Amino acid sequence: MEVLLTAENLVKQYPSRRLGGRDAAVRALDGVSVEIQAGARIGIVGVSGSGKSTLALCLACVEKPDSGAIRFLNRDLTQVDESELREVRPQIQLVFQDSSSAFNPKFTAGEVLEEPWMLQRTWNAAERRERGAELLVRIGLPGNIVDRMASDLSGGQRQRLAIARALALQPKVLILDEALSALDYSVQAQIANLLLDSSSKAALAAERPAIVLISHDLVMTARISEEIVVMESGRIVERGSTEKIVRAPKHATTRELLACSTGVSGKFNQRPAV
Amino acid sequence: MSVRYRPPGGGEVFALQGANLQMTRGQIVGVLGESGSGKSTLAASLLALLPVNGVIEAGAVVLQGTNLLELERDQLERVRGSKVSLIFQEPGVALHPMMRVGEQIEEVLRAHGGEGKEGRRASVRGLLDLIFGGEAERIYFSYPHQLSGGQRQRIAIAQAIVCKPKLLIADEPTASLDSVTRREIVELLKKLQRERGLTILFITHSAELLEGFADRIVVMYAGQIVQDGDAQRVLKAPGHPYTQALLKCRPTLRGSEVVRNDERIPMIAGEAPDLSARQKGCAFEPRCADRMKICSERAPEIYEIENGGKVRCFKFGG
Amino acid sequence: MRYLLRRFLHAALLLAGASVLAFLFTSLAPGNYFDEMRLNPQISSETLAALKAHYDIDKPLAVRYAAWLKSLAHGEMGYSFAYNAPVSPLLAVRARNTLLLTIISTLLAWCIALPLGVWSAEYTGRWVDRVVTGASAFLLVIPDIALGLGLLIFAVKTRWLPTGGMVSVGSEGMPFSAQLWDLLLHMILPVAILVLGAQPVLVRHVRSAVAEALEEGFVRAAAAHGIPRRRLLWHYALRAAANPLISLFGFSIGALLSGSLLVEVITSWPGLGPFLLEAILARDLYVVIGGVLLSTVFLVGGNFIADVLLFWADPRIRTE
Repeated sequence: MEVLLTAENLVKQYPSRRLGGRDAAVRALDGVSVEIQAGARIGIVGVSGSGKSTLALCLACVEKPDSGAIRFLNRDLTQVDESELREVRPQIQLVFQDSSSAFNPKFTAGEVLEEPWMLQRTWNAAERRERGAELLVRIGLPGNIVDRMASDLSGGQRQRLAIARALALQPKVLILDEALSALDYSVQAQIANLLLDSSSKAALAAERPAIVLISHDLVMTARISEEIVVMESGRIVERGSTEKIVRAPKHATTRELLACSTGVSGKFNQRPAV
Repeated sequence: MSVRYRPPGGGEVFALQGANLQMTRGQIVGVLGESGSGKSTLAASLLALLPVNGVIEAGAVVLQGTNLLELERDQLERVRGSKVSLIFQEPGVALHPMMRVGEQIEEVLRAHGGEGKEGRRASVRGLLDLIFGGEAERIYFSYPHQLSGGQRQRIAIAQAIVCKPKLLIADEPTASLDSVTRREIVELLKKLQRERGLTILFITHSAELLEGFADRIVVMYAGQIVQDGDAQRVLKAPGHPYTQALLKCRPTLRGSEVVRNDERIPMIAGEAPDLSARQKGCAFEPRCADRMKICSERAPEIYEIENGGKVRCFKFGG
Repeated sequence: MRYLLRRFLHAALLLAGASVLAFLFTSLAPGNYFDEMRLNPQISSETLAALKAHYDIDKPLAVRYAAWLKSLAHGEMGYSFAYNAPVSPLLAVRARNTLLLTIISTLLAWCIALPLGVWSAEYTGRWVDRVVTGASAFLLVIPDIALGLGLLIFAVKTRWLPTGGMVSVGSEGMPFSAQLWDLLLHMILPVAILVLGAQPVLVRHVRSAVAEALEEGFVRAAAAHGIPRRRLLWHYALRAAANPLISLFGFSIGALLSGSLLVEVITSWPGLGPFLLEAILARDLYVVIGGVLLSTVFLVGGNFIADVLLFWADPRIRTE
């Protein structure tokens, strides 16, 4: 598989405003390198402050790293000006944890979905409506949602809408930053299936995005991803195939995340199928 | 207990229908439910803290013989925080942005009388030492925006237990925290139960948090309690079809499952029911894998199963 | 701290800019004080020329501005043509009179608006709220001048209050306590007009800020901890509502010198407003500039005080 998006030695610093009032800078990313291949599903796990969200923002070109390169199809996106970047952006889409502030509250669900097409000036109004309805079916939202106000939707529906909007432009990379963590399990399962479907081998190659799932939830990440990257304090401490990470974790952080992904007695994650 | 809301758009939402819950001292009861199951409504009504458009249609909240719903406002204010405490999901939102956190904990002590300023300060410092150890001093003087999510939630817990209540209700306290911090909060609560004999009602949608922590688990769906039983049993061999389906939705880390990750995860078909109309039959029936004819005609009652568990399903009675 | 320094610098720059603009605009306005005199046949053109030279009227703008700045550094604000006296003492007296009125009205207005607003927010939708909101709307609709004249008529008819001026004629001879009482009586009317005029805006802002704060999660959480309602209102909600209210308070301070012109005219209160008006009509240059600058000091100062208060009240701004 071709390599789509790489991060090379990213470094990013933020001024800190934590306790003590010292203006100590915090290194959110401290030399992070990641490779994402076309159609792959990769999970990035870590606790709050490990730098995973910063990595997401840099990969999606929302934030610029202080140093390092981000190569997309062999173009270094950190060296490119805004107008060129604007062409690339539709191909790398980002979905956040809380979509309630991601939509214009005055829009209906249909308008939210059609907005990217309107901005990209693809298709006329009738085509947009049709494609929008198709997309809604694909992500499992009922048809009548098209005319509901975006602010009226439930959390799970909003997240699905956000993912639908991200998929609308057929991106090559779909990055999800804690997009599932706060949702109910049954909704997480639905969205996970949606992601699995859109990246399954059965789908057309052109429509199959690479999926980068960023989360603190190792269980769901392991279920969806083929490869896992473990971050701590701005660095990557371990990476490997899902199987290797789950069965033979090497780094202490990985083991801690595994231990905390289940209840106090540790049996929940090994429970037999009911 | 039955609770009804009047949403701003008009109409009614039957958020809680005929919920019965009993807790014995020192127990940790987990309430497992998804959005719209009525779990937060249950928590709020236990302390008569429903928003203005919520009405308690029927029911009582009896704490050691007193019905809290019959108390006057000032009597209720005395119960809240000192006999029964409640902590919420978003700790960042639950703390006043302009007051130091130490002061906010002292406010709770002040509201429930007793010690003077010095005494209050000493009590709070002592409590913070217990919860935060070495960092207690710095944290006492900080503002909420200077603390992490986990630290804020620990402050909320400190506020809740500073007056030594008998019952602590935690409404999704860890939903906005990462997995490691979640575990720390659960361990803290367990420690408090052990050392102070605190009774805890822990509301969550994450079943794995309850394992090894809760003694009993109550499962809620569509405003009703559908299962109530020993925690281990509910998690290992759930009786109610909803509980079963819910637990199946959550992936495991068993080796066989981890490598099969192109396959879809089992999910519950359909959506949660609209609570603006009272259902005729069982609320879960449209999505139930084991549904029978009777399920759409009548609503099931709570039936007892062996070992004191209760299930609201025709598979077990009626 | 750096934040405050920045705000202070900002304020100082504003003042400097305002002084330049004030100078510029008043100098650019057509005509000057001496044009009136030219029409008077009794004043010879030599006298006129001498006067003009004396007052440096014909020098270029920049020179005059520099001279004025120099005298400002000495605490002088130039010379009034009409009164033939230095501007500073003239303005000082008038400003003092105005401030007497406005400081008391502002304090009173806020002391009334805060409890009314909080009360109204607590009982939103109930009759208390409706009465307060209705009265506010009513007051808002009535123009200040109508309010003023109405109260004036009331004073005239009932003869309970003096109908104008600051002190009664011949009051200098009275003992101090009598003088004070006389002053107070004269103040009642203008203060009443100012306070009533300010109520609607203040009450509305307090009410909405407090109502919004009451919806916040920390109020709900504090209620869950058993904090009594009264403390929730004043110690929690009002405190959280401080930000917009402090900004509003800054405006109140800013308007201390400039907001009472109409009232002073109606009640013949010898304040800054009527004095400035007179000076503008007479083209008394330095009085006008001095008055404008003084007002600007208060405006900018009011804003700066608001910045300082915000810094003190909101820890989030402090730690930025």
